[in-house]
Amino acid sequence: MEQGNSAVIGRQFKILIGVGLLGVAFWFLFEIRGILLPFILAFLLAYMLAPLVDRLEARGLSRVLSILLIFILAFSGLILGLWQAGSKLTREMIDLSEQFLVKEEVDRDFSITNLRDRNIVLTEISAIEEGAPFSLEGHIEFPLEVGPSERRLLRFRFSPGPDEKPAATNVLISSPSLAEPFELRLRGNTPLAANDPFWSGNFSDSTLVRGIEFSGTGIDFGRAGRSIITRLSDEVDKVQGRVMGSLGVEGEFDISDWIRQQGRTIAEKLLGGTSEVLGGVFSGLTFAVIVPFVAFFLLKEGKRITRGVIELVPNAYFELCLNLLHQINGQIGGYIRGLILATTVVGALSVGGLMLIGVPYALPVGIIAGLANMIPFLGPIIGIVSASIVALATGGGFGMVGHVLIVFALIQLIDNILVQPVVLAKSVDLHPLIVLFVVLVGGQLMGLKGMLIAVPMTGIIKVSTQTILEGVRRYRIQ
Amino acid sequence: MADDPLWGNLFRKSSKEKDAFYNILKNVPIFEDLTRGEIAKIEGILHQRSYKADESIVRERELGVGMYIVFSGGVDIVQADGDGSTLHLATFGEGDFFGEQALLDESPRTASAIAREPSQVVGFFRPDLLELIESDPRLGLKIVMRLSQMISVRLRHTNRLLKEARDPARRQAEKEAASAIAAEEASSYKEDEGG
Repeated sequence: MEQGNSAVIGRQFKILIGVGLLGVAFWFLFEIRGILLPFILAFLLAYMLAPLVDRLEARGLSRVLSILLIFILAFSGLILGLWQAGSKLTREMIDLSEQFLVKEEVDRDFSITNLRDRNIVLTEISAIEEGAPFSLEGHIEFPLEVGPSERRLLRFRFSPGPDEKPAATNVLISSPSLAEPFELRLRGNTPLAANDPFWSGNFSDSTLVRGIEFSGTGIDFGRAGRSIITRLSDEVDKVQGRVMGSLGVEGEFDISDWIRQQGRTIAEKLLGGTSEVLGGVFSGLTFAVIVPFVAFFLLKEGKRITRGVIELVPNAYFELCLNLLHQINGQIGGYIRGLILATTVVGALSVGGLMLIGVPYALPVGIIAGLANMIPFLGPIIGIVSASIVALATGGGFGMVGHVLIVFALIQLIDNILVQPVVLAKSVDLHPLIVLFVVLVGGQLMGLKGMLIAVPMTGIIKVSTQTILEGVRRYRIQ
Repeated sequence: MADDPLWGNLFRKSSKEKDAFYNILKNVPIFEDLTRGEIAKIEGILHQRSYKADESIVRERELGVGMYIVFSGGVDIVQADGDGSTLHLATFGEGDFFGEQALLDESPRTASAIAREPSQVVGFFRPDLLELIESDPRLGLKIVMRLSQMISVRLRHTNRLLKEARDPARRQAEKEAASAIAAEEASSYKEDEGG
């Protein structure tokens, strides 16, 4: 009886130590989460390429040579893809997030500094051309006196109105101290181009004319206009009256207003980090070096690493661990490859389908739909909603939303009938609530990157735990 | 260089160790057909383990994952009897192997293997064999072929034993049947007489 008791205590103690170690491990991973991403990506990459390497090795090539061959092929493909689609994708992504965040009016300050030791007088600023969407803000009285080493700010505003056309105009600033009026150029909604005759020289460099410093020779206001949110709420506004009227709840609440107010906040929160992600993930040199480097060694030494781990296991659990590691390896490999295959297929089909029905920004929206597809149930809805928002806001109308629905229904059909049966991803069967939760946790911990790796990491953890529990149960059948 | 006691010894020892390893593997039937290079490749997927005296290497009724080759020391093969005592089946020494059936299927071990003294054993396991079949099918097939031959030899042996066990039993049964008939005849004769 006593022996039994002490065995129970020993067991509890062991479990306690195990839980403690697990906690420490999680805490450690949490602390170093900032540098984990390249390793996780390398891990996923290694799993994706492992079967190809094995196959080449079976044909008689050495392992190192097989890995190098596949790496060269994969990277030349990647570079070619980036060459072809990468710049377009980056441009469309930045453009699209700008479309969300763009303001209807843009203000820019222009400064005039008196560097002389006596007063200067600005007699006049020429009136802005009739119909040009520029204006001088604030009430400024001319003639305007500027004392020695004093700085005056002039605030110009660009408000292009609903047509959002490119606009440009010149303003003349006159002063008796200047031989001829200073010419200030204003323009907006015009993309910057090389060798632009309008902008000879660098217009944002300050210029000194007879002791008066102007903060530039021109002002580029960048883009201004109705954001996607505004357009969407305008679209909804058109239908709202009719729908609500027929429902008899007219004027009770205003959906279009709600979209206008909430949409902007949400868009700013979500897209605020887009440029950071683009800069951090795609052009980070460390990334481009670390990921292939780590993946190479995982592919080359993976089996040796596993053997090393198994060697450390005590004799009593050694066979069990060996078997489990092998099974987990196979399961994770199948899961990752399936996930990548499904994401790629759905992403490619979405890009193609959206292009076919003429939705603008098909490339970024399709890629978002493909990535979101990792999330069960919710993923396709995210794809449909984002494509519909873009379709509505870019003037496609509700007819195009109908086309979007048809395209996504077809893609889901193809995914469920042709893709899912071949991949193992479905067998992992993560509950949508869990997926939603981990995606949010990933976002909280690591931002957008965290959201992207949340689903595969959860899948890997679930597959491993499942295999371990099942294996232990079957192994100890006494 | 060969006269240098430090370096000379070091190299000789390691190559000797390697030779010992090779010689043992070479004499294990399932590796018999392999070339030196192939055996070197096999060495890369084997697991070397050391066990203290009385430590179990495999336990009866647990799922088997592969076979073990005794590299040094000795291993007792025992089976649990119904009444809690153990039945000693065999003792294996250097170069002997056991558990090779587990390479083919995932079935419970039929007996336990316990180190009788501090022993070094080398394990060869099904997951590694399956991977080998994927990465080097020719080598994998050679091993599986030898494995099947061994199993087939054992099956033939078992068949013969079964037959030998069955023949006396059948003769015994025939004898019993014959004596039963005789007894019946005798009794009916008695009945006749009595009647």
